[in-house]
Amino acid sequence: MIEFYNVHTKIDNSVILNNITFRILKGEFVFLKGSSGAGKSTILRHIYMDLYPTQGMVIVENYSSAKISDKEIPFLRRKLGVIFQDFKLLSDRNVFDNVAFALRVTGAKSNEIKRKVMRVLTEVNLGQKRNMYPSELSGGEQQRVAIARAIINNPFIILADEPTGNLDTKTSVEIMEILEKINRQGTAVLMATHSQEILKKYKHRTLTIENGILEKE
Amino acid sequence: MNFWFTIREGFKGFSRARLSTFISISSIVFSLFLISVFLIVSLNIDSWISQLRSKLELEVFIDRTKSDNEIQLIQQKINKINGLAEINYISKEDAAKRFEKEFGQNIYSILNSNPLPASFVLKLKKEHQNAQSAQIITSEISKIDGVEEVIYQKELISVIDNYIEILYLGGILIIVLLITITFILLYNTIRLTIYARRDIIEIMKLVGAKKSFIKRPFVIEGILQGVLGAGFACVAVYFAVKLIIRFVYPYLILKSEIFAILFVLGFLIGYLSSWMSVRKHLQTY
Repeated sequence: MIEFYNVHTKIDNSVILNNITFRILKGEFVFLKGSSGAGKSTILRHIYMDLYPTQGMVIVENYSSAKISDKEIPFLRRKLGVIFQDFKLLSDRNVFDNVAFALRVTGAKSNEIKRKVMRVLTEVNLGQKRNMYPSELSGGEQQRVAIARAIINNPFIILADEPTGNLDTKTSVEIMEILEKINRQGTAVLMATHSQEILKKYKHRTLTIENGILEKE
Repeated sequence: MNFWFTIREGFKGFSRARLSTFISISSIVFSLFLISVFLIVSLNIDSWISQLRSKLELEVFIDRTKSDNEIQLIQQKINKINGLAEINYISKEDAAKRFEKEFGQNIYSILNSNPLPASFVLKLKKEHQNAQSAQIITSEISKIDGVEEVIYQKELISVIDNYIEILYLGGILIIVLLITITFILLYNTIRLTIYARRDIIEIMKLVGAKKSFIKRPFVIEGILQGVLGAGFACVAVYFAVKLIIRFVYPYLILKSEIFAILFVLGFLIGYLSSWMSVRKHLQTY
């Protein structure tokens, strides 16, 4: 489903990824462990094709980094859900519109949007806060909005870049529980983290990357 | 594609980036106003020159010895010449009356006779009201037997012909320059707007929006700014012209076509500048 084949990536002449090869299967939950600057985000960016390898190849479902065209990228991204440490919510619209945004850009009908948004908001337990703005929400709630936005298009995988990085322990656990639940429903999760607490508490396959090199599993 | 979503986003851009919207629209209003000043000046100069040209007359003096019959024959020959709009016959008596009107004295009381020749006053068709045509027509008429002399305001018409092109070219250059400046101003303001909203673009990209979908609200916003700017410029021009007519120069001409030109320019400048700036921003996914 996601495959990295001998991926080398250089940015401005510095090596970011060095001969990375791994595979993530359907429905898997995988941690991507490593210190800051180790290359975790670069790996995620390769998956949503925001960045291409200098050498090697990344395959995501039917798309290959070697062949994907500019026009295919939106369609690849609609199959992925991406969440970040800084949530990346739009501050000028409420919770409902932030989540609906991901459907609107695909041209969904307004009835379908209402139904789906309410379904995912209920799933992350934010249905009652649909009219609130991001600034009125706690960090954990904002991340839950981001998760709702990520799952609304029924992605096959959630790419989570340090999703608990800005949250306290209790809230981190809440977010982890939601990700676990999504995973149990069949969606794969690839989560970049350097939190030892989370890695200890949740037992999943872990890829460790340091200085752009993937350690043996 | 959700049409209303795009339109709504385009309009929302206005309230989200109020300052840059204000700067964009102001610069469009200012430039379009300047453009319209040049258009109005050109229009008025053009109309003034047309009036001058329409006053161009060739006066054909007939040999004094010619009889009325012969004069009629001369008229028939003149009639056949291409490019004439009007032929008026001034008999010797008419010429004497004109003299009296111009100088206030009867020619008979000064000279005891009337030496003034009969003449034809010719007006040229619009397309022949220039130095070259006047010259050709004059030389053709001069060849007719019985025609003593043909005179017209040769100097004036040559000056108009020589300078009009420079005037038009200068006007066009200034207008092109102004359009370019407006375009660059708006292009950069929209780039700033885009930069200010890079978060929304980034999220659009992440959730799988196509480039065309991302571009559209910005282009709509640009068009709106252009058209609104044109609207304000039209209002400003209208009132400025009213004031000038009332207090400065009552003969100033303003045609509705100028408003149409401003709207077309506003639309095009808004469309092209926003399309180009968003395209530059979206070169990569």
